[in-house]
Amino acid sequence: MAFIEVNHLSFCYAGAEKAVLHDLNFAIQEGELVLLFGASGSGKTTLLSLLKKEIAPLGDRTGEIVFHGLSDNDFSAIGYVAQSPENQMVADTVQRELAFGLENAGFDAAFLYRRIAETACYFGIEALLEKKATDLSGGQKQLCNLCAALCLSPKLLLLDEPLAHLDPIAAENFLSVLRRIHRETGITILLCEHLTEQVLPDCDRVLCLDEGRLTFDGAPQDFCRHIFQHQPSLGGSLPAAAQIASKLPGLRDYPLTVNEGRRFLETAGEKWIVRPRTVHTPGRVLMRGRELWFAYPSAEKPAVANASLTIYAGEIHAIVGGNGAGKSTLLQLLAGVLRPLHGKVKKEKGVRSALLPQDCRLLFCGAHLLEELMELSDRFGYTEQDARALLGQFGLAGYEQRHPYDLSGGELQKAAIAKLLLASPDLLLLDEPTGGMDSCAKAEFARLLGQLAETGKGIVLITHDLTFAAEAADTVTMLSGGHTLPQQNIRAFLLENRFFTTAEYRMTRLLPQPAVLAREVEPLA
Amino acid sequence: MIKNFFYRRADVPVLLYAAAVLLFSMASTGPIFSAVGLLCALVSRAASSGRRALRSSVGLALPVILLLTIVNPLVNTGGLTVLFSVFDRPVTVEATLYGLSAGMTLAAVLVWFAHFNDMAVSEKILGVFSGIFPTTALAAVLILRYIPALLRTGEQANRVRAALCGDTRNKSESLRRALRSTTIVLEKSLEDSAQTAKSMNARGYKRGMRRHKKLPMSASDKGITALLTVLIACTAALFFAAGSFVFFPYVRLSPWSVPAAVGMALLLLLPVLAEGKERLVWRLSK
Repeated sequence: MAFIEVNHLSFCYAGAEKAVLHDLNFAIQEGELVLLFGASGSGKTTLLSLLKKEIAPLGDRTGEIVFHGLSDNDFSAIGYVAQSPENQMVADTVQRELAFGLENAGFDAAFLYRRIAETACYFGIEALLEKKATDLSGGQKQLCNLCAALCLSPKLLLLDEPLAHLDPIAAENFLSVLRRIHRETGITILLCEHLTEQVLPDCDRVLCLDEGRLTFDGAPQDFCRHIFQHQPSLGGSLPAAAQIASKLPGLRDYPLTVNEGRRFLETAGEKWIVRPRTVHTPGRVLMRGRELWFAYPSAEKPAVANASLTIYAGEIHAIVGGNGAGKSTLLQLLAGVLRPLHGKVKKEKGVRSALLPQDCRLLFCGAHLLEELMELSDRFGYTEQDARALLGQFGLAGYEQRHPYDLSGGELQKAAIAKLLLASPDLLLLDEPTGGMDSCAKAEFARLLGQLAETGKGIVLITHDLTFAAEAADTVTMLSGGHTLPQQNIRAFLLENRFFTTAEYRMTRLLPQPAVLAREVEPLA
Repeated sequence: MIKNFFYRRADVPVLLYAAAVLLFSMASTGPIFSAVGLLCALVSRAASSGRRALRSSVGLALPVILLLTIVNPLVNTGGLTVLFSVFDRPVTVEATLYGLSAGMTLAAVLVWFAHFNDMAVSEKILGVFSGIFPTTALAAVLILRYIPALLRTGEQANRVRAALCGDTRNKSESLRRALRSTTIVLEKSLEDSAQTAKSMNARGYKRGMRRHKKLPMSASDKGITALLTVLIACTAALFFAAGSFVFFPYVRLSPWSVPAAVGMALLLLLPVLAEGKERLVWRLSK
């Protein structure tokens, strides 16, 4: 008997015309690790929310969700972890955060302390217990949220894109904790993600949603086959090994990890060539940063130490590095928002720069979209026609009267860039623009950046997604502990590294024709 | 080591001690009591937070004392013993002493607040509150969590605008930007709070927080509370006996002042003395 049975589930939000979910039928067994896959807007969050009574949205629901072995009144039987590490937290310290759910369950103080101590000990977060929430990194916050959900010892864990705002190391850390509890406690996990590189090898089953309909229900291997046959546009979400293997003949089982991919390539023989993408040629110098030093007032060591880089027009320059390496600080120094303690940022005459923050909503004040875009029209001298034309160019033509918060993540990103572009900047500085984007949106964004570079704009972007950097960028500067390594061509950079490089390269490194991206691989006819 | 008193003890003795300290400090009239209060505050600060904290506390206390010592005689001309004249106004010893005393009292209260902040006494207050008014306590916790987050968001919004339009010296432009940042912060936090509410609901927050049983006081907690009560009673009695310190027209000292000061010092330094033995043993064993 299944743990959860979903029979003919359809759902339509209150007041909406179109249904979000159509006739879903599936069952989840106890102890399974299930991946819920789908593009943005396919209904994953809605489905996940419907499974838990306390967070179920209001609307018209037909069909049924049956739980076998879970009591109806017990909110602690199902745990829920959402996307944003910051917004989920209620309390100011980690200890109180872990205690929150337990207090709601009515446990007394002695039991509370015991449970928190036990959970903290098992997950190794004892050192974090006394810390304030604001002092934690994103990865630590998300781990704390996971532990807060697990403190209630749920039987089912629902995770809604928990890795979206985490850097790769923090994401891997989080996943390893998830794998550990799955392996050591047999908890049932339903994980919703659209980037599957790190997740797919560990799943027992995959459920695929496409516009509210269940298009696939089965093993990860068959899932890869299904995507390449029926939804090839989502192929970029699959692991690098599967993507490269799908292009080559002689494929029986899709490799899911770099290790499996290597072994497959050895048996496949030399049946491909590598065609690198073309990079943009740089124009004039826009900005030079020379030996920049910066430290925040209460910090022990400098955030940026002896950083140097040169930005050219018509070129896309990526800044990469580990978490806390000083990338955001460097970007703000280039934007002129922070003054370096030592060293100089030399901007060429007449160069105007614009900064796109990690959270695009910081640009929008709350009026409707057209009014937002027209806000700086007096200062920068553009007309309403320019604004409308730009919206049309970005595919946002019908959205003039919409509130910015009603746009999806990718659309909001484009609207924010449109607002910045109306000020005619020569240099765009983007801080982690692809956080939370699915593979289609990332590909489209890379194309947009390419178009902007071709019009002569300089672009600097911070990213921890090396695959995206390989897709979009021309030059790269790596920051490590505040110091910059000399900038170089992105492909040359990735080819020189062993670990800090794309999964595709880690897989093909030892072969005569290594590839940095899956799309570089072309099979011989 | 002194942290043990504040961290490990139950809510009641810690809050009783804090209330007693503040009451006696503020009720100190007279340079002897003020000086004792200030000295005890500085000793407690040094014992718990180290030399750096002591330096910053002294840096906080000295200007306050100096300011009041200098300003008071210029404003208040009571008293009989004249030192010198400024602008035809006599500067008297009594008025200077009054200023010194008031300065030390104020400085002591400031140092005690800093000390209690470091020793997380606010946590104990919240602990007591969550037993009586759980929803209020939750609101307090949320406020503590949101204030730094909102300030940071406002700062980021400012930076983004400055990156596009440059820094501004114009007052009206600065005001407009500040208003804009505030609106952005409010909109964003309203939107984000929906996610926080979802997370809270997922963890069982339905109609409000429930009161739950607190940890019972251990035997040593009860002992410390009893000791505190006795000390407070004795010191209060001695205070009454010493009476108010008389400044004007000339200084008079009551014979009860000295025992009262000793009692006060004992009370204020209770945590240091209680944990002092362990500290000494630890130091000697190194």
